[in-house]
Amino acid sequence: MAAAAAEATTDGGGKMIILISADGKRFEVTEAVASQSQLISNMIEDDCTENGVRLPNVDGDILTMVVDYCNMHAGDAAAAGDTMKASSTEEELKKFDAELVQALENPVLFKLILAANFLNIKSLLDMTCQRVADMMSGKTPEQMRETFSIENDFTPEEEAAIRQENAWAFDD
Amino acid sequence: MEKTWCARDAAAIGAGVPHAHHLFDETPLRAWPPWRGVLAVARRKVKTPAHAAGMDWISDLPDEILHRIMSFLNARQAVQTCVLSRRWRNLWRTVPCINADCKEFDFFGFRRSEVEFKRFVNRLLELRDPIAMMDAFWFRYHKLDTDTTSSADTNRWISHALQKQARVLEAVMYPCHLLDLDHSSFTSRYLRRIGFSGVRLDQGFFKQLEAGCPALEDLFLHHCTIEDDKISSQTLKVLTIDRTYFLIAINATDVQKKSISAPSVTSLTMYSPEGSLPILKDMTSLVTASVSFSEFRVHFDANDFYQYLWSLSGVTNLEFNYQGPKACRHVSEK
Repeated sequence: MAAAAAEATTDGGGKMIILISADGKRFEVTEAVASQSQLISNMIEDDCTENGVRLPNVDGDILTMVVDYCNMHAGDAAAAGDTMKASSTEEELKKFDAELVQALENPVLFKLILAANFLNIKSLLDMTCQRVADMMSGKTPEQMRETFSIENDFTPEEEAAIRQENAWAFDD
Repeated sequence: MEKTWCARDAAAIGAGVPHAHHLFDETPLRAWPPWRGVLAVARRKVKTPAHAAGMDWISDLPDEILHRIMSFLNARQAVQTCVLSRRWRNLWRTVPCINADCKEFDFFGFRRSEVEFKRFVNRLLELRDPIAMMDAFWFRYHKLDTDTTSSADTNRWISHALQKQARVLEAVMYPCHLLDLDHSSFTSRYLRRIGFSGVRLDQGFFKQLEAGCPALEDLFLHHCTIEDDKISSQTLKVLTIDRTYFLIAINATDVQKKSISAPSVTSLTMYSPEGSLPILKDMTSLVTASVSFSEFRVHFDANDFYQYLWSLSGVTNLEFNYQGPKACRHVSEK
């Protein structure tokens, strides 16, 4: 998959950058695609992407998703001028994004959030954080604990005291 | 690039789902062809080892990310996370975006929900970490009282948010009563966007905005009443005025004309104004304009109409909708 994406971007022209995941997987992407990461964008500006960009805290699986996302959302000058290339509509992007986050299970979703945060890709970070918020929305604290396997480390007395203290935010 | 408001957003602000996503800077969505196989990968469920699924991943996230997540929640739920575990005990006190919705208190019954909601917001602002700044403050509130005490509360909240350097302020009042805004608190070097629905903007409001809010770029008004005569701003870039009533002020001799003068505005949306049609003055940066008005709702004469069209002559993207029987006659008279 990664190789297919790399080939396709090579066809599109533009300078290529190699991203290297924690487990050594290599992804070849255009500068335009990679620049959606503010971190990499800064590195490109500083001219230090020659020997590939090592991302020691992003796994290959996660980086695959990040690269897919960036490929979908990239728009460089060449693409903007090329009507054939500018074919994926806003709706297609929305569908792609929705499918991307819907497919995620707990740990992968959080790894993707951390990767988006580390790479500083705001739109991906917002989208994944929104997904977590949607998973919390409408749930009682008990249901939230269950959804995210949060261990309640309060004693029953402590919890009761906190509820009492913040009664203005609870039903009772 | 910031998400810009458009008339369609009126539904969003009215329907009032907290739109925290536009509170953060967004990377623009640009078109690109779907690479072969990309969607297949997106659809593929990433396998999770059994032991990993049962772990508490969320609590390990740094505060900064948890705050971002909690900024998408309504304020009541954000506060309720305090009982989840020790990790979550005080996170709500520093969440930068507050989405306070009186709908969350509807289960108390219509009349009591207002009291409970007010109590909630008052407590929330009082018990937040006093050092924590605010990024955005959104609230939706159906005001039942006609006296000014209700407005006093909401005005205090707004003033608090501005003191905490909020960049975005959005107030949605249910249409029963307008919020009487106290414009004297609008002094902020940080405020960048205002969204108001169901708010009365009194004489002097825009003068105060111009003097007190030098960073303001985006103003969205929906179902508001504008009593002020002059909307004037050097900094506004996006101006949306949706189904808003421009109060007709009549002096002894003449009908006082309202005017909009905003030389930096590049995008103007004026959807179905009511009352007296404001004259557009000095809108030299306009690139995109979407204007729609009905003669049945708004008062103007032929000169106003020409002046209006003239002001839009430099626009490269114009959507113009007009409804009314008089248009043709005015043109032929001229």
